[in-house]
Amino acid sequence: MIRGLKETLVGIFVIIGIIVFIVLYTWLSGRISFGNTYDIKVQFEDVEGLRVGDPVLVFGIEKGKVKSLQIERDHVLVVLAMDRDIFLPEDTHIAIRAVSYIGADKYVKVTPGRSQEVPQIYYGASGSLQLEELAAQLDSLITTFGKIEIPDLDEAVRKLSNDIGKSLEHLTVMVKKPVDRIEKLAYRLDSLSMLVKGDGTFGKLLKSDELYEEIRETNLALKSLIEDINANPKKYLQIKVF
Amino acid sequence: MNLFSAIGDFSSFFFRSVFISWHLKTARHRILNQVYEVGIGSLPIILIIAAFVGLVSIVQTSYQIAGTMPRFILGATVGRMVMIELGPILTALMVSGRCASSMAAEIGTMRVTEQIDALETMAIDPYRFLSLPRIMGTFIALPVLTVIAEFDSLLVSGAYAHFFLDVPFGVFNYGLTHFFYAKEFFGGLVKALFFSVVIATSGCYFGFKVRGGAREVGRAATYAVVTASVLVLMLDFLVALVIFG
Repeated sequence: MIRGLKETLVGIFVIIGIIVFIVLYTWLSGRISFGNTYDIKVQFEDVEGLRVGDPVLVFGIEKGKVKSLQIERDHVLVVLAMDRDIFLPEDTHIAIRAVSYIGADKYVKVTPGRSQEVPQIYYGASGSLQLEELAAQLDSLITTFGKIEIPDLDEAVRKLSNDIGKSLEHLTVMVKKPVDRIEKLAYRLDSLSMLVKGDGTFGKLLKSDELYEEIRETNLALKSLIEDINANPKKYLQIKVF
Repeated sequence: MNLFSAIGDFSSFFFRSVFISWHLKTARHRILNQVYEVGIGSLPIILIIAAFVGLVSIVQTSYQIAGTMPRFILGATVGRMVMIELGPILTALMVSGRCASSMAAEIGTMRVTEQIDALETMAIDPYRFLSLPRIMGTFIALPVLTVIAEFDSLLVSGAYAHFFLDVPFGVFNYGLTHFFYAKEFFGGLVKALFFSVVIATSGCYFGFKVRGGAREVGRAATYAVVTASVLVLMLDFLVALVIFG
């Protein structure tokens, strides 16, 4: 009796162990949901690396998980376990997005629509333009440009460079001549300015009021002398033949 | 006895005990008896220990990552700690403390009271009669105990995070399931299989080697626990190196 009881207890112990093993494994692998959820089916052309257990975000809030992925002919059928408080009408937009642009983690972005109809199956948007795709396209474009070869391009560039060099030299010579002349003119003007400004004879001649008065008076005296000579030439010119 | 001869003696004892002809029909009761002793007998203490392992893990991890990482990391970190290391190791150490000593004491007493000699006189192989059921019983019971301990730890840590750390169970569960790798889960269970073998072998070996009286029996129990614990940690490193290295 005791032996029989012991064997039963051992049997129960081992069976409990196996059940716990199965429950633990299914729980950890994300196949058991602890929320009040319902399943929706979404058809994608390409799931872009989506995995079972990846989150489903509705307006950025996690409201579900990817329950299963199954390939069906030319598309993938994805089952999403959604929280009961979320209503997803017919015109709901469902797309797969990357969590980060360098990682492989994905999530399902859901934007509920306004319709009142609920479909049997939803259609997910795929092939959406994402930054990494854009980067890949840019990269291929750069590669394409890198492969383009123009045989005479180097020669043409070299000629152009030589021509520009020669033209620049010529231009330098042309510009240099007027510059030299302007420099000489400036030097002369500078000398003249010094002459006018200075205390030399010419400067005094230009600046002295006294000299001006004297020259004026001399001028007047000369005028009156010339008038007098004209009036009385004999007074000043005495021509004697003998 | 030097180290090398001790290793050789221990290994030959293991092979002598395991690679032996035996019939399930005759050995069944003795194996079930050992599963009962090791498995069901250790279950209460394992449940308590595992619960506290879960609590300590969640509190320590929460303290380490507070304010620096998202909260779902709690689930990921505790899950991996429990599955890879804490679950198998602490279960094995508890079982070695509880069962390896009792095996050594039981077989040692049989040795000093000449019961093993009596078995040999009756043409009953003492290795098949005493060692094999204990090794087989521990081999069955320890992985089961490890799975139960891991489940217990994760449930308790998730509940503590939910009620005391303001981390909803859904968030904890997200981290736990999103970063789950089957290799880690099965790796921990493979460790438990190896540990079960060294624990039972150690208990039986030191029981068989008893010479003298009651004092030697007590000493054999101590040696069995110490050797089993050291071998468990050594094997943990080796298995980790092979599976996760």
